[in-house]
Amino acid sequence: MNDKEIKNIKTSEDLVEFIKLKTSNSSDMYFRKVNVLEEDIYIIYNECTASTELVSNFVIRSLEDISKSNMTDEKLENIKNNLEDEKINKENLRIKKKEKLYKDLNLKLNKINEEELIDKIEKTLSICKVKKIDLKEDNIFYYLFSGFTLIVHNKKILAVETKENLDRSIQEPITEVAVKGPKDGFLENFQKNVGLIRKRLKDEHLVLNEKKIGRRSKTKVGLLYVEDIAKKEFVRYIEDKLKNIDIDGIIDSNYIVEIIEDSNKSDFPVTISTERPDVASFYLLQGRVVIIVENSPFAIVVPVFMEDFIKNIDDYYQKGSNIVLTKIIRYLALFITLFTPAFYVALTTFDQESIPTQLLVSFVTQREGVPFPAFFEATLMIISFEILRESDYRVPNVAGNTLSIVGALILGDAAVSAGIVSPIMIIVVAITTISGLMFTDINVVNALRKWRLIHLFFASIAGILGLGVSVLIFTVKMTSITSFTKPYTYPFAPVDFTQIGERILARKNIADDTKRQKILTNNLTKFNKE
Amino acid sequence: MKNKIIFLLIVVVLFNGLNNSRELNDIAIVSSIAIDLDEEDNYIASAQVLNTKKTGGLSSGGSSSDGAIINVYSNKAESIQEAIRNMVDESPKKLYLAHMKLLILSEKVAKNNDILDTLDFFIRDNEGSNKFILAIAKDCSPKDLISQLTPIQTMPSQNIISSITITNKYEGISSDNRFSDNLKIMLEEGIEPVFVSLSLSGDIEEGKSEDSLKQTSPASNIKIDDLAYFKSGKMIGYLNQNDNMVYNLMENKINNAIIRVGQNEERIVAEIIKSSCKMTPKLENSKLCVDIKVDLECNITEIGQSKNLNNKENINDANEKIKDEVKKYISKYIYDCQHVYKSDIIGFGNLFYKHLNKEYKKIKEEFEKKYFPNIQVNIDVNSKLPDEGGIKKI
Repeated sequence: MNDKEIKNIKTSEDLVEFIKLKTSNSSDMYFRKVNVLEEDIYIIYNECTASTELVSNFVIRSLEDISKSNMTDEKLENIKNNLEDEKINKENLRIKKKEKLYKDLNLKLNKINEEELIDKIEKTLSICKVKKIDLKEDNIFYYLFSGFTLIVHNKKILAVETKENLDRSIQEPITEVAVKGPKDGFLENFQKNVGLIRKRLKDEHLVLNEKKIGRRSKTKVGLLYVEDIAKKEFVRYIEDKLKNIDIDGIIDSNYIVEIIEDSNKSDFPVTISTERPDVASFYLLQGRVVIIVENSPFAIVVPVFMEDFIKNIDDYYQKGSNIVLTKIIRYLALFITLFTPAFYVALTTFDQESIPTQLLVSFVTQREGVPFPAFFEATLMIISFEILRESDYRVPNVAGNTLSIVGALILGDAAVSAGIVSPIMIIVVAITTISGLMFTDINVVNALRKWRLIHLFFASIAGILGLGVSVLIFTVKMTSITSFTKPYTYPFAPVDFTQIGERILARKNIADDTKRQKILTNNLTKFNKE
Repeated sequence: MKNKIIFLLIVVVLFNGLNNSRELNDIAIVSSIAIDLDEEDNYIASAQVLNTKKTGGLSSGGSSSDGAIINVYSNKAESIQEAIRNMVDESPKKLYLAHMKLLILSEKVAKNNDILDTLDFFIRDNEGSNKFILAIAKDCSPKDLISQLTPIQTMPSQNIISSITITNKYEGISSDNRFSDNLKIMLEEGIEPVFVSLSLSGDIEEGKSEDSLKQTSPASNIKIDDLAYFKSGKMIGYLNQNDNMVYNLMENKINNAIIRVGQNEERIVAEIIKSSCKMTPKLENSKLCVDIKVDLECNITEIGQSKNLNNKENINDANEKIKDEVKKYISKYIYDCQHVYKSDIIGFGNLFYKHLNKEYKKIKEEFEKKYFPNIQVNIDVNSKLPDEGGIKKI
């Protein structure tokens, strides 16, 4: 809204006309004129985002109450009548005095009505969240479409929160499953998301820094951090990044991720998107920063390391001593999913002498009659599995069964019977895919898929040598990734043996884990153990 | 620009490998090779190729009736390389030698030709393996040996290898030295190699058919026979039965072996469970002399009647008998080597070469003929019977 437009608005009617003009007479805008204390008051709200029930029960009724309580003339009449009834003429003088008193009172009241009706309404309204709006500073449309009701009287505007509840209730997170542990997940509602974290960390140091981003969407983006744990310069760094965002709309938190990501193009995600408030709280206590975006059930955690994707919050909800093996299996799965097809192709097309004889015989027998080279066979199978996976994500649950039956039959059995692929290739691709799906973040799964194909390509050209070259490239690529200035492959490169020993392979007992990570915070002591 | 150069380098490095690529379908896995000589001194090479056809073959347990588990190709040429390479005339796939487990030479080849000369191809070939076991076909054609189908183990060559390993491990005879180990011995100073020998009995033709395997005892049998000893690269003959065991004892290669003293009611059968042998060369009055110290740990596994092992004396008595018997074996073995086989398979020459190098250099030329047969040997056998056996008295 520019100044000229604001200057033109002189009365309530002008404002109403202005809104009608701006919204091009949108049919969901609702205007109502009420009379309070003989003053015209406009009530404006958006039918779709505001709750009509709240408007009528609290706004309109409150206004009526104001009118009633101020019907002074009637009251005066009543008192007069009463006095006449009592027939106390002697007290005429007193009545006159009283009359005068009431007249004064009435005069005062009327004055108030004229000057501070809006204030009065603000005081009397039985709704908690009320805001006076200055046309120059505030965008009335933001309030209108956020579900506020505007009460307009003589250019003065009062915004009253009458939001319709457009959110689902708190549900179990779908993408991140924990065997044990809390079952609540983030929603599309900003306040509730922050609330879910606040509920867990009732600490005055937990700071929420809120911004509205997006020219059209005006999405609330909140930066959460624990003030005395998170590194100040890091928080400022993220704040600056958020400040500089200029975009027309933020539909999901991934928009923010992509804008604020470091300039290096990495296939692996440099932020964690989590649906779990417990995960967000867990990272906040480590000194990381959580970004909550309105309308997205995924909170963003920065900075992250590759290791965080291999770790799972569930590890902290289970017995620590058993987690060692779980973690070893996860690292094993990482290597299996990256290298198995490449390794298989390299061995079977270049280095047959390194396969044990019995196994080689079995391989050769299985490949007998397969018309394609091993590389092509592997690519074919990987692509078929990827198609199956992609359609499995997209297809609604009702058709899921059909898909899996068709997929399993065609890919698993018929392809072998038809002699298109060898059974061993099915095993190789199956173990690869299963290992890849162990990682919850879809971005990690996709990045692993890309590198798996690159390794496969190199291995098919030059066997183990080629695989060595691609592993080299992979290592260089991985170690050059930074997640918001932090090295991605920490604590492997740069190497930090204490971290590897205490956190990566094993998990420290929670009672003994008194120190925070140096890379994330300057406030190292979690608590003192006597 | 820089990126382009790096990319080019990578491509150049990688595409070098392209010509090495080979699909699994294109190779015929050779599991063993037999080499023989014909009358005109041409090599006859036979290769046992594993049948990897989808139906039948090895993957379905090998018991399927369509097609044998192995195929044998044979070819004759002036050189071994030619003979093997030219097998593609018959075979639809190139023979792949890296998985060869067994190389069998006929007696004729071993006796007539220098072994290093014969095996030059296997030492030199870049695709070959040197982890195979070299064996001599005793009184039979090597081609027949690799054509036999064997029970229990699906892969015939694997069956033979297992037999060799097992006899070495539990009987103390035969030698499961891989070719690379043997090569080391052959190239070393003052020691002669021995090779395991295989003999074939029964109906040879019937043994090539799968019907033979359907019987409780197969038509033909491959047996691990005495060790064949060599001298100056040529095979001379076979060791006697007990010498096989003593050879392994002296080489410290015994895991388990059986020793019997006496007969019938007097018999004591002991199982050697630990053994170590140490040879120390020395010069005594300018005569070559070797101290042999053998430590044994035995376990009595069978004993004749009327022996009470509760009695310390009886145990000591048994122990002494075992000692004497082993001593007898060793002295006979050394006598055989010196005077019957006339081959330094014990490695006395090597011993002097290593420990008394100066003296050895002087007599090197005449060592074999003049000194070797006259080396004095002091044998000291120590035996322990830590466990007298579970049953002390019946």
